[in-house]
Amino acid sequence: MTGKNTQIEDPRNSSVSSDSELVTQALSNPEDFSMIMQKYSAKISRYICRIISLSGDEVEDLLQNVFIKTYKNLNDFDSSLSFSSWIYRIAHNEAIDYIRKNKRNKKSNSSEDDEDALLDIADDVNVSEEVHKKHIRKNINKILDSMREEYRTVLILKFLEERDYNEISDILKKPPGTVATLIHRAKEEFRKKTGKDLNIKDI
Amino acid sequence: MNIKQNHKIEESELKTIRDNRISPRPKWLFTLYQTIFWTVFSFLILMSGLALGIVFHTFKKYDYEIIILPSLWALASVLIALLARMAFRKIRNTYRYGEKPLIFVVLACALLALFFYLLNITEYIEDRANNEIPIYNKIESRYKPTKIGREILNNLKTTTQ
Repeated sequence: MTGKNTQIEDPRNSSVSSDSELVTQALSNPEDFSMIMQKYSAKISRYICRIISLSGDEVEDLLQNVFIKTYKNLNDFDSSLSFSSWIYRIAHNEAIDYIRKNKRNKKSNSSEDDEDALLDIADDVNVSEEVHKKHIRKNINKILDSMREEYRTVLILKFLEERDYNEISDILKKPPGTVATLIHRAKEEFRKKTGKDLNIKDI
Repeated sequence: MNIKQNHKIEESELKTIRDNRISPRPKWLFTLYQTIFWTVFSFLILMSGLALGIVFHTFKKYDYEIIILPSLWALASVLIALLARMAFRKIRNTYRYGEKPLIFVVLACALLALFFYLLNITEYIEDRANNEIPIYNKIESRYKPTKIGREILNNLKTTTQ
């Protein structure tokens, strides 16, 4: 799904195109940019919703900004990193700018599927008892929202978007070592918060 | 977001691109940005090295006593090096290396400082500043040996005897 040479079916030509080829095509013919949008619309809008809580119209607006910016900067795409990481970086920066400009709360909006995926974090930090997991499932959004922005972001990228360390490094423009440290600290904070929020009556 | 909504966004996006005649920024523009930042970075490293070399020169000129001029040149060297670091951050993909390039910056500045000092370029620059910049001259004329400076000088003299 992610990676440098991710393949998709080109519905018009019935041929397989890599992301780099799609970029080349989009540069020579603007209409071909629709293939990139087709591939990434759902993923980017889901990612935006995971970072900030927005209405449907706001997500559309932000998504449009992301694609406009992507199109304008297509010639700046560096093939040494994956196109997926590059467009996610643009989406991430646009979301952060949106939060700052509109002074929005950075509340996440995870779905039921996300809750299952986030339980991976609980497993990762040895929160293994069923009652703890039940508690976490109920309070997952609250726990995430209470975390620092950078910790929440790396947890979302690692566990929900299933990015590896190098991809997260490329998206956030931080060294891989820093990403590893952030993930470690994020898990620690997650563990502390799941422990703090647990009432005696829930055991 | 469902498929219909996504399709609507794609159509709307393409329409925006067509109506506003939006086109990708040319590749040469990005190449230019990178070239500028590389040039600025290299220039700042040179300047930082030069300032550090002048520190060596002024220390020697004033018999290793700690006075204001070498301190000012040292401060200038550090500030310019910090600017160089900021310029480096703007260069593509440098985020992957974290703070490791700082080691390179420090080493490069030290080597350049030694190079400029040994070639007497630092002496030339400092003399020109002394002759042509009035405020520089005023700072120099206020040179007064400090207590710490005298102690260091006396220790050096005792050690060399």
